[in-house]
Amino acid sequence: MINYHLLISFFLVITFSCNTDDHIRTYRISKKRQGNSVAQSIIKNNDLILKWEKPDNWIEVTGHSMRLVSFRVPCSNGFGDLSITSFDGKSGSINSNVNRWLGQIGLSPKVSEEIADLTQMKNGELGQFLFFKLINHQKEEKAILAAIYTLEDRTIFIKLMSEFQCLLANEIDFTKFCESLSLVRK
Amino acid sequence: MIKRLLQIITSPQVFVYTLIWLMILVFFGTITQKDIGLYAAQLKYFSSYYFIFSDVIPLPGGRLVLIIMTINLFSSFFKNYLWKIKKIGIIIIHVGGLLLLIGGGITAAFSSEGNMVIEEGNVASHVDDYHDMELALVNTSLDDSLEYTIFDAPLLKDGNSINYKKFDIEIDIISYIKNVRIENRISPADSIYKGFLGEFVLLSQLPEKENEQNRPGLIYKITGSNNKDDGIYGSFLGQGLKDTLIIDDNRYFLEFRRKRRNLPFSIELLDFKKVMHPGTNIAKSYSSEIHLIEDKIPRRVLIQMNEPLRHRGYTFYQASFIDGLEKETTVLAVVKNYGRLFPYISSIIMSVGLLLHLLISLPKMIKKKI
Repeated sequence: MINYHLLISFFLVITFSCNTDDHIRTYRISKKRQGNSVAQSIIKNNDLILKWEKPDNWIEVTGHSMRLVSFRVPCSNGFGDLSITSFDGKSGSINSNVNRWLGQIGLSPKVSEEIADLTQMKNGELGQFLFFKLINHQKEEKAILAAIYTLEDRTIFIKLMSEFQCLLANEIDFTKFCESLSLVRK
Repeated sequence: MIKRLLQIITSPQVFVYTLIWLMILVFFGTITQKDIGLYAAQLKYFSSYYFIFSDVIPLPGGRLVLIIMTINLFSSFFKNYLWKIKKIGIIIIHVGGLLLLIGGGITAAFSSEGNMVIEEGNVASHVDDYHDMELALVNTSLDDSLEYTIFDAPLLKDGNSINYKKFDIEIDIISYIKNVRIENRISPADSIYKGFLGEFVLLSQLPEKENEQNRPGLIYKITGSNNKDDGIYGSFLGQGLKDTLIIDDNRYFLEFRRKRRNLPFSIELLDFKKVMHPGTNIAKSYSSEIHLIEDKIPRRVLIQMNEPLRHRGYTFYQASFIDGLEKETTVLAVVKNYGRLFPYISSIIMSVGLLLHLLISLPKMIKKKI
């Protein structure tokens, strides 16, 4: 025969001695151990250097000859591709560049009035810049956030191409990044 | 009533029924995995106390069946007829079986799985869980350190209210979203919506089959910080720019992330190598040369496919990689399993028990034959 009282007592002890965790923890990590948390990077360009502040989870990559720099922007399903290019002078009209980007996401070119509707003006360290959010809702695997700084002697293009949800998730980061761009003398 | 229930649970027939039911669960769990994904199938059939079959019939899940099985096996030690010298083999087999079940329980309750993503030249000292999430409130106002206050996944359930006395704040969980979809706000947001939710909305969308592909999100209300920052916040996995708030003149940011386990040592990725199948982009083998840094002393170790690093109860497997143009990034699968040795030990014990029982029964069997 079984001693049921003993058996029940044993399992009650096991049950109530487990899982007393209140699920709130506190700990500290030295700021030095955080590594490259907020990166401030520098790229040479003639006698000026371009500076920016980026989120710590963007991975800087190089290798594109046309680009000043590229970043891999993490998404839940992979990475978005962010690039900065700088060209002397005007480097084509705004319309031709926007239409080129529209083509990259499978949309047909637009006329000036339609492009004006897509354009937002924002202010950054370098002054005013044009901001574009280009989405093809029929093909959401590719969408573009872009910014154009038209300076006295150069035009700077910042473009993030990624899947639509990734784009939205990174829109604020992208805007802050564009706003943080500055040119300083070497 | 309880005595009657225990009588049923502890009867030897129940052990046989639970064994058959486990086989049925394994069969259906394996079949369903194709449709609902591995993680969901595991949760539904094996990690649950019960599950609903065809939206109507509640049936016992793997966890409940294993608990009944453990009670059943354990209760056999309280039965007087077992405690005889000629049944020593059977006692040992029962001990082995019970150890196997206890090991399974320990693995289910305390083990963790996750991954570690390290870029070449970088050092990491934490593991991100594959499935569990946490909300972190990070104090950035301290001079030399960041102070993390972590609210674990069990607290982040719809309608739950977290009253955290240390800061005198209350966090009300409005919605935990398994797979979030982000949309722009059509009209300006009410002032109660703070940070990211001021410009966007987080909507729920159908979860992906494989849980790792989902982007979980959390909508929650904070009260008691200060009047300006009290309001509704929204965070999601992979959010770059975190929402911030001021509590007692300290600046905090909010991060919704995979549950993080800090390791008592660090790993620095020195070099990542991959060998491709000729003429393809398919990796044949890959390996990570690392520095295992403990007490500031680095030790060089090579982790490669089928040759994991085992250290202080953790096992690091070479799982994947991320290609970079200049630097590569390794992905290590990290497992800490406290019940790892139980199957080996219990198998040995059960083998010894079976052998002993055979030896004890052998003279009787020979006698019968003669």
